[in-house]
Amino acid sequence: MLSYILSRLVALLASLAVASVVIFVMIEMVPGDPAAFMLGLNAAPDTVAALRAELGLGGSPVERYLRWVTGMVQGDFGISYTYQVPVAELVAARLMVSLPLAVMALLLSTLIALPVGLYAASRRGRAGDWSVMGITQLGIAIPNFWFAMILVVIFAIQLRWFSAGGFPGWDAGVLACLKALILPAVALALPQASILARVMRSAVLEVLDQDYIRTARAKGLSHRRTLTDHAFRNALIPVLTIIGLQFSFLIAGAIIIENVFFLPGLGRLVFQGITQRDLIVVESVVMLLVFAVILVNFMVDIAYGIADPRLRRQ
Amino acid sequence: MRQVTSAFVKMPTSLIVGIMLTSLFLVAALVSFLWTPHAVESLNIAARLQPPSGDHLLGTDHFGRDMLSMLMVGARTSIAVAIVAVGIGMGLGVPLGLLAAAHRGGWLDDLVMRGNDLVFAFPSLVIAILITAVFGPSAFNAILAIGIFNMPVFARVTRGSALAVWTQDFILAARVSGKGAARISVEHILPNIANVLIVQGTIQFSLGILAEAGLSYVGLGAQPPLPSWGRMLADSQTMISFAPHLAVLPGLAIIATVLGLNLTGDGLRDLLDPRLRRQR
Amino acid sequence: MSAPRLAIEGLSVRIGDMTVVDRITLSIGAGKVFGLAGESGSGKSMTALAAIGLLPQGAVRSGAARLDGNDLFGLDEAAMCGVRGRHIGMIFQEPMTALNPVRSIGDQVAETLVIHAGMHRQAARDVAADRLDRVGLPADRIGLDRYPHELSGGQRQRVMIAQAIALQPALLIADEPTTALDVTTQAGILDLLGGLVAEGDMSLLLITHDLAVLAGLSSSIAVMKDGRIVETGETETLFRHHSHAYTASLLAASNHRPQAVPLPDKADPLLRIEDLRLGYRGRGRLFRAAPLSEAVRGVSLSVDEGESVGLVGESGCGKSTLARAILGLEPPRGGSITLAGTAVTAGQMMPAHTRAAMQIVFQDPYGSFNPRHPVERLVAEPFHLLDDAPTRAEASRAVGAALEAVGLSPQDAGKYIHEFSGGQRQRIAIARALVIRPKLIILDEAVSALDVSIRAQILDLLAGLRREFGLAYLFISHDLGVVRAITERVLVMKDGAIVESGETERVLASPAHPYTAELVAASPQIPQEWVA
Repeated sequence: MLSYILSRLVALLASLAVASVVIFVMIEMVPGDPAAFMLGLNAAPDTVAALRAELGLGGSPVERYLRWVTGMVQGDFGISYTYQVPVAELVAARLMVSLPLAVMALLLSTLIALPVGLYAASRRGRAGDWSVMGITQLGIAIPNFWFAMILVVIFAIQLRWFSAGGFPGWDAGVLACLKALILPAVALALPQASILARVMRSAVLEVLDQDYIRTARAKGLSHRRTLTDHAFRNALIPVLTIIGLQFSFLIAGAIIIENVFFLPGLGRLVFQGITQRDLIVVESVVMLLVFAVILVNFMVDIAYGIADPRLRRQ
Repeated sequence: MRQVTSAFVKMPTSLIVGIMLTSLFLVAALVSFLWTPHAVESLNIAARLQPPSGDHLLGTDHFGRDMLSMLMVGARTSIAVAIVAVGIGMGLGVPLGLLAAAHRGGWLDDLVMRGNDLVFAFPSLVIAILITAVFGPSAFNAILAIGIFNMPVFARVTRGSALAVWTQDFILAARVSGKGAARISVEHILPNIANVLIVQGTIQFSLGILAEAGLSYVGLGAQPPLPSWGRMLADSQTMISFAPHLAVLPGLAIIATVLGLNLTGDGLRDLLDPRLRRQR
Repeated sequence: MSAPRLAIEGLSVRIGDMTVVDRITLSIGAGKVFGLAGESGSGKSMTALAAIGLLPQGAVRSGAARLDGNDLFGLDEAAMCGVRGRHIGMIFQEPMTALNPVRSIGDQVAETLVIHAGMHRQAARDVAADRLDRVGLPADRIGLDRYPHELSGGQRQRVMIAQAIALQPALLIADEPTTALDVTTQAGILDLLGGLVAEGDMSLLLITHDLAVLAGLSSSIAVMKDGRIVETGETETLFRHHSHAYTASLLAASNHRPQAVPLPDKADPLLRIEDLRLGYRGRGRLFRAAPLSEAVRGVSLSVDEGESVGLVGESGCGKSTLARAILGLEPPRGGSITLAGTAVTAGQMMPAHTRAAMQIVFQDPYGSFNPRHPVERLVAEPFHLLDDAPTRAEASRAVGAALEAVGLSPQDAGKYIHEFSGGQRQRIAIARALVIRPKLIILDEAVSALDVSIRAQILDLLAGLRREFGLAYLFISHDLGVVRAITERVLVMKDGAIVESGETERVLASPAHPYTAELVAASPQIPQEWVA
C-alpha cells in the first residue's frame, strides 16, 4: 500500500510541475505590459521600469518561472496589480467562500446520489427505477446556473426564504453563511447528483451480473443483503472515479454559480482579474484550481487502493 | 440490410423521442440561416418586453427583439460550437487512444495517458479563462476550450474499449496474416468500438451545449451581438422578477436540446448493446 | 427405507415459451455422489439452479423438490435463504470470478457462518480457518486475510468449497467444478469432494459434461439431453449396459479416434526450433530493476512435413507463448526458429511468404472472428500475405473451396459470424487457416471449448484435411485423450521446458518422466473393461 501511495504521489507532483509550466507559458503569451497598464498611458518609462522590478517582472522567463514557483511553495503568490495587496490574502479570503460551497455541493450530491442509484438498481425495470431514471435524465439536462436562477425566483423572490445573493462573511456567524450557500450548493449539486445516481445504478447492475453475486445468493444471503454487503462496495469503485472526474465539473460550475449569487469567491476574483488584466491573480487562481483537481484525483486514487485490494500490490 | 430493418423495427422509444427533440433544434438552427420571423439585429425599444402575440410568437426581449428569432439563431451558435468542439475532441482523442492501445504498456501509451491526465486537470472553464486572458473572449475560445477538454475523454474511452478488442483472438489472427498495428487499428479495432464512440459522441455533444451555455453566460463565449442561449440568460438575469419568460425560454431550449441528445445516446446504446451481447 | 436426500419430481423449467428442463425426476441418496451429465444446453445447470431457487429472471419452474422429505418449492424466498448455504451448498464453474474480489477469503467463508449461525465475525473467522484447513488451505500457509486475486484457480475453488461446506450442509451441488482447472488441479479437487462425502453424511450432486470424471466418483448417473433425462442408473451399470443411443454416442464420442493418417515414407523437416528462450522484462519500479520472467527456457523441437505433433502441458507452462513465437509474434531472447528453411523473426521484418507457410486455429470459437466482417472477408484475411494478391473473383473462389473443404457451403461466405454455432465457427476458423494452403497449422486448444460430439466431428475433419493436403499439425492441448487421438508424436511441457517427448502411444502408456506420469494419472478415465 505504501509503495502504491508513493507512486501516486510522484504522479501528483509531476502533474503539478507540468501544469504550472503550461499556465506560466500561457500567461507569458499575454500581450501588453501589466506595469504600463497599471500606471496608465502617461507614465514615465523609468517609473514603469521601477514598477516592473517591484512586481517581479524582470529577468529571463526561466528566472521568473522559478521565482513564481518557489514563491508559491512558500505561500507567496505575489502582489495583485490592481488591489496592491498580496494575492495570497485575496485568494485566502475568497477560498473561504468557494471551498465550503464546493464541499457542500459534493457532499450533497454524493449523499443524494448513492442511495438513489442503489434504490433504482434494486427496483430494476419497475416504477421506482423508471421514475429515478426519468428525473435524473432531466436533472442532467438542466444547466446549473439556469437552475440557480429559477431557485432564486422561487425561494428568494417569491417565498423570501433566502436572500437572492451576496455573502455575509464568516464574522456574521456560521449559520448565516451556510444559509447563504444553500441555494448555490443545491443548484450545483442537482446535475452532479443526477449523473452520479445514474452511474451508481449502472455500476450496481453491472456488479449484480457478476458470478460472485450468485455465489453470495447460494450462500443464503437475501437479495437485499447481497445488494448492501456485496454489490454496494464493489460498485463504489467505478463510482469513485466518477466522483473524482466530477470535481472538475464542480469547480467550473462553482465559478459560474458564484456569478448568479454574487458570491465573493474565486470565480468572481478570476473574472475581475481578467477584465482588469490583473494577470498574477488569474495565474494564481488558475493554478490553485488545477491543484485542487489534481489533489482530489490523488485522493480518489488512494481511496481506490483502499476499496480495491487488487490495486495495492502492483 | 436485414439487420438494419430489424434494428429499425425495434427502435427504443427513448431514441425516437431523442431524435425528434434533437432534430427540432437542428432544423430551427438550419432554417435560421435562411429565414427568421424577425431580424435579430433590429432593435425596437417601443416593442420591448411584449408578451407572446401573433406577431411575436414567444414575445420580445428588453430591446424589442423577437424571442423566437433569437432562440433560432442561438440554437445555431450553441449547436455549431458544440459540434465543432466535439469534432476536435474526437479527431484528436480517438487517434491518440488507438495509438496508446496499439502500444499498450509502452512508453508511448504512458505518454498519451499522462498527457491525458494533465489535460483532465484543467476544467473546460479554466481553459476558457486562460485562453480568454490571452486572446480575449470569443465564440472561438469556447470551441477551443470545450474541444481541448473533450480530447482526453475520447482518448480514454477509445483506449479502454480498444484494449478489450486487442485481447481478442481475431486480432492475433490478423497479426498472423501479417497485418501491422496501424492497419489492425483501422480495420479491426475501430469498427468494433464505433458503437461506444457514437454513444460517447452524443453525450459529449450534449455536455458541449451545456458548457457553451455556461461560458457564454459568464461572458467567455459568444460575444454580442451574436445571440446565444447562454448570453440571453445572462441578459435576462436582472429582469427575472418582472420578465421571467426571458430566462425561462432559453433555459427550456437548452434543456430540450440536451435532453434530446442524451435520450438519443441512451437509445443508441440500447439499440447497439444487445447485438454486442449476442456476439459474445 | 428413509426418504432420499434430494428428490426431484417432474421438474420443468420454462424460459418464455422455451422448455429448458422437461419433466425430470431424480433422487439422490444420503451420503452419495450423484452425477448429472450432459452437453452444453442440456439443462443440467438449470436443474440445479431450480432446486435452490436461483433461476435467472424470467425462468419459471414447476414440479416438486424435497430435501430430506421437506418440500423446497413451497418455501418463500426468506425461508429459501435459510436453506441455501445452510442445508444446501453450491459451487460453480468459474473460480476466477465466483469470489468477491474486494473481500478477504476468510471473511467470505465466515459470511456463511455469520448469516446462518448468527456468529460474531471473529468467532466465524475461527471456524472459517478450520474449514479452509479442511479443504487444504491451512491458515499458516494461506492466511485468512488473503484476497482471491492472490490465489490460483485451484485454491480459489477450494475457498468456494470451504464456504459451501462451512455449515456442513446435507447436500452439496457442484456445477462443473473442475472444468476451468488443469488436470492435476482437477484431480485434487475431485479427491477433496470425494473425501468430504466419504467422511460425513453429505450428498453431492456433481454436474459435468465429462463422463470420465463421473466414472471414478459417482455412485449413480443421469444423462441429460435437450432438457430430459434420457437414461439413469448405477454408474458402472450405465457404462457397461447403457440402453439409450445418446448415451452410447456420448461414450463413443468421448473416446473418438479418427482414422489414422498414413505418414509419407520420407519427410523433410518443416519446423525446427533450437534452444529457444522466451520471456519478457516486467516493468521496473522506482529504484528496482525490472524482473525477468522466462516463459520458455531452452526448448528444442522439430516437426516434419505432414506430421502431427502434440504439445501437452498445464496452464502457464509456456505452450501458448511458444506458439506465438513460432508464428513470429514474440521476439525470442535466444535460440532460433526455422520454418521450411527460413528463419522466423518477430515483427514486420519477417518475410510474408514465411508467414504464409503457417496458420493458427484458436480455442475460443467466439473471439476468433471480427463480428463486423462477413465470413468471406474473415476467411480471405490471410491473402494479405501473398505477394501477388488474388483478384476478387479468385479470392472468392478460394474462400468457397475452403468452406467446402471444412464441410460448409460456399453460400455461407456472405453471412456474419454470429449466425453460426460454436462447431461451425471452428470449421470457419479452420477454413481461414487453410485458405492460403499453409504447410503447418498450429491448433491451440482448438477443440477444447467444444462438446464431445462436435469435438469428434472436428477431429475427423482435421484428420481428413491432413490426408488431403499433407498438412503438418502442432496440436497444443491440455487434454491427453485428444492428443492421443490425433497426434503421432507428443511433447510434454512443464515450466517452460520440454520434459519428455516421443511417440504418443508410448509416452502416454509408459511415461518416463514423473511429471508425465502425474499428468496421465490425473486424467480422469473410464475404466477400459467398462466400455470394452
